Amino acid sequence: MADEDKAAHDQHPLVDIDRVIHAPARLMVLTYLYAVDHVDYVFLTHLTGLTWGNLSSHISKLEEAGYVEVEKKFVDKKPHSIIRLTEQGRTAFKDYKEQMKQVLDDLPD
Amino acid sequence: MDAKISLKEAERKALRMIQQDGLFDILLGLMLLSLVLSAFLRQTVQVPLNYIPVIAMLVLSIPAYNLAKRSITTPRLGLVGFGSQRKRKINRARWVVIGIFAATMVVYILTATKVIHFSAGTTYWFVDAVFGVAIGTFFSLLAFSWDVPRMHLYGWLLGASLPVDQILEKSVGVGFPLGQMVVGFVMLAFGLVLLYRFLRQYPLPPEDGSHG
Repeated sequence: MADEDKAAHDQHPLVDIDRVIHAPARLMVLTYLYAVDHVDYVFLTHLTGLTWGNLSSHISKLEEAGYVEVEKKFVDKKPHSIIRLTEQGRTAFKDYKEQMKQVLDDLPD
Repeated sequence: MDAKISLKEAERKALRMIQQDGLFDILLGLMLLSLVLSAFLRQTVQVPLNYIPVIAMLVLSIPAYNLAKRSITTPRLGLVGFGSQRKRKINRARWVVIGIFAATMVVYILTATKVIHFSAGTTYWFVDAVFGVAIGTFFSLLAFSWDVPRMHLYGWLLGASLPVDQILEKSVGVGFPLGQMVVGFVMLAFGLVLLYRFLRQYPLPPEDGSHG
């Protein structure tokens, strides 16, 4: 199996791409989280244009992968779920960026 | 869902969103109008009393602004915190702003105490023009560090209004800062339009759910 994977990677680096990040909505969420320090759900729905439910399901997947952390916090006596990128998420995003750059740079004009 | 994303644009978009409530524009406009009102009152009220509107604005404006941010903006837009790179940019701009402010104050004190004496040949609106440039630069730096282009417009309009008011006073006899009043109303109008648009674009989320 490992040999098969290596062979596949040698064939095309896209086989190795992080599929958690590669989904368009999650990629957009991670881009915003990479650009700012932290946001809450309300702000992130406005930024991304995703619905509450859709965003929630993507955040859960990113949380499961260890890429984001969600902290419940009270601001002016109102609950807010603060979302921020973890170190693991930041590294994975950087790796993804490099990988995609490499793949796209290798394409002929 | 937005299709266009880049890291730089993502951060800028977040930064611009929090400036779209128009509250800062309203604050600036009201502050400027309070200064105009105090200049206007000087014709009818004794000198320390005419500063009451300015003092009232100085005391009330910042708490009122913070309260408005907390009760209007945050519940509708949510919370965001910016990264170290943006904080560094804001800090750099802050030091330049402090430098400009200090230099302006030094020039003002030196002029007021006649250490720097402008000769009779100097155009009468020259000093106002210098302060106007300082104000324009100050606002441009704010525009740059906050990524809010309309601050350039406010700064240079306000900067230009200083020599214009001086010219209006000497040549037409206008006894109060008409130019500054116009700029104050421009800021206030911009702010109110932005606030109206903001309230329409970002309604309050339903009460039963989470606040973010």
